[in-house]
Amino acid sequence: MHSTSTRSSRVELGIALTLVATVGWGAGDVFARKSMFGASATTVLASMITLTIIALGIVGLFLEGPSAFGAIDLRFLGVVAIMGSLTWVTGNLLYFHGMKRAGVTIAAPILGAAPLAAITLAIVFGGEDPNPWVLLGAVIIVLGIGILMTDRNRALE
Amino acid sequence: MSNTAHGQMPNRQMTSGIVFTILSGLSFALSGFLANHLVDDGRPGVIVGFYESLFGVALVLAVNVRQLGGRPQVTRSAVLWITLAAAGFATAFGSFYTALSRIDFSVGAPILGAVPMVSYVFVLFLLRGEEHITPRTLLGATLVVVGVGIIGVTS
Repeated sequence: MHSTSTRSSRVELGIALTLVATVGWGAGDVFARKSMFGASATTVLASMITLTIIALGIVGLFLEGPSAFGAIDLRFLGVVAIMGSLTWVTGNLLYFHGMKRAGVTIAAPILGAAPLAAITLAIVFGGEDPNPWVLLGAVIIVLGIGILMTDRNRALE
Repeated sequence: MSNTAHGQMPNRQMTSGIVFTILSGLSFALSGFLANHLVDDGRPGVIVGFYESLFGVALVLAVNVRQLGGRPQVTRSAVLWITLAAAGFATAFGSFYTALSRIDFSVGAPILGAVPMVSYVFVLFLLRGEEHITPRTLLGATLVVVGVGIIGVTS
């Protein structure tokens, strides 16, 4: 009973943190788009990563202590190097250029379909088991993305 | 869309923007999947985000060394928005990677599908006159969020 409630509160905290992340990314996208009226997408990204490193470094020092930064091995460095490339180069750099060309109104919802790819990865490689509702949700997401992508011509009229 | 976008933005430019965005979505998904494995191994999410960003800045600078070589033109207001964007992204990375140690990636990732709706709220206030949310765009984004919501609740 006790372990069930502990697990439940862990999950609730996890979901709450994810909601915070959702607001952070949603707002950050628009702030970044706004800054692109006065700077190139690449300049925005390079400046933003630097500030993000500083912010995460300070928070990490407070929450985990300096020793957490030293407890790393080659495998960890290899994986975060790949992640750095995926998130910031092929991820954010392409997204920022996409946002500059198509606007955040079109780009943000298309990026919202990323969970589909994430779920596929989690099922195929992570051994996670989807229920039928997950598949229904995936179909609705695809439908929404389809509507967004076909709306671009109307926006160009 | 900017003022140019609504009436005159070339179709090709918008298509390339959409393609870039789709590729970036796949990259984010793969990166999140890897992050999930690292935090499952007991790595603090904030530390993972820190090192990921460290490698990220090195790679972005390496890829764009020529473009960033000269003195970049940045307006004062852009500096403010860049700072706010960095605060938003740092909060997002730190929170999400910490969350991954408490919930499955397949639960956390769909919740992030609500990002477009959050963006739309900010667009209404900050990009009025520069970007336009059509009813059809809103319908599409709503379906994305509903789909994401179904996955999040039933998982």
